[in-house]
Amino acid sequence: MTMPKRVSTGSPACVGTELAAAGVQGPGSAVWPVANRAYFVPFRNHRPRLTSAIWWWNGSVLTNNGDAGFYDVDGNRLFSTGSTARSGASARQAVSASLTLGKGLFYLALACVGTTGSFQRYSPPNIGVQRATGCLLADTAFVLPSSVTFAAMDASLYIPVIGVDFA
Amino acid sequence: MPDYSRAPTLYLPHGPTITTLSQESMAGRLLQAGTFGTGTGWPVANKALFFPIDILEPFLIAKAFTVFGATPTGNFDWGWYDAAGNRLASTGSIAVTATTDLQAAALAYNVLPSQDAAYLAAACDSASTLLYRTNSFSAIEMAAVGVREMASAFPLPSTATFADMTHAYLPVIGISKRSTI
Repeated sequence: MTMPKRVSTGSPACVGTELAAAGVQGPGSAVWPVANRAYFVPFRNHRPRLTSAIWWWNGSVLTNNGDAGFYDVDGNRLFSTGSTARSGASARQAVSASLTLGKGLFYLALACVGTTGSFQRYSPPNIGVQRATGCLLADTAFVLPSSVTFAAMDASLYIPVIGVDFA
Repeated sequence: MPDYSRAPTLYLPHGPTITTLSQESMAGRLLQAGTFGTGTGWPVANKALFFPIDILEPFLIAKAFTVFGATPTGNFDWGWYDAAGNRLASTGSIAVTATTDLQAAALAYNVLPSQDAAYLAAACDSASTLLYRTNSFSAIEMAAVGVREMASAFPLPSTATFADMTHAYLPVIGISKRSTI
């Protein structure tokens, strides 16, 4: 059976079902809420698969570097791009990422060093719905650390568009 | 037990949370998006609602939660029931304190996929308690896909007598594997 080659925040394997069921509109461009913050979007992998790239979707303003990665459920970093200059306004920006993810639950992570640059993000209607999706955050997390202590989502109402491509 | 690992397009591992908005619950049963708001209280004081949840792999519940509206008041009780209406776990009465936010309570229970069917239960002792909810789905729709209710069921009883849902009322209620939500 075939499976999607690309999975991102809006996919059923992430939080797309919950966002759609809650009537959340499609993503829009907004500045990163807090400098050095990382957001973590849960991602469910149905079987071991080899990734080829991790990516985020830039907003209209490209200032501030980004760092994207994969984490396990215990907060251990499995891969990260490292600090990466952003390019391509309002475009998807991919970085090669060759990693075999096993079956189970993981987190797609995205961090940004400042608050002037913008990214495409979903904006849930309130903090409660945002927390109910299972997304998490960590502050003082740029570059993405080797291990992280997850914290609950706050009132930023910001779930970035992060994705993975499979080989 | 079926080997779900051989059905990859139908089966994904559970996420960190399962809510009434998830594929495992109402989003897998009612194929439309709701329009949500926070302005309506619990349908009837002391009524319990039971939402079906599909569990395909062990899910160790750490907490149950609800997204509440403004002006917290009343008390809430979350629970987990089997298909026969037996209460398997519940939090007991918890004062509602969240304001347009999620409030969680410890509900330790390991749900196994061998359980025939499962219901996430919630009861509230006040009709003034506001929840983030949609009324986009009719009571008929909700009853037709298996949402149940029980009157005079606060706190959640050890044995529930299920009746068909009679309210157009879908709140955001869920369970979490993690203590941090």
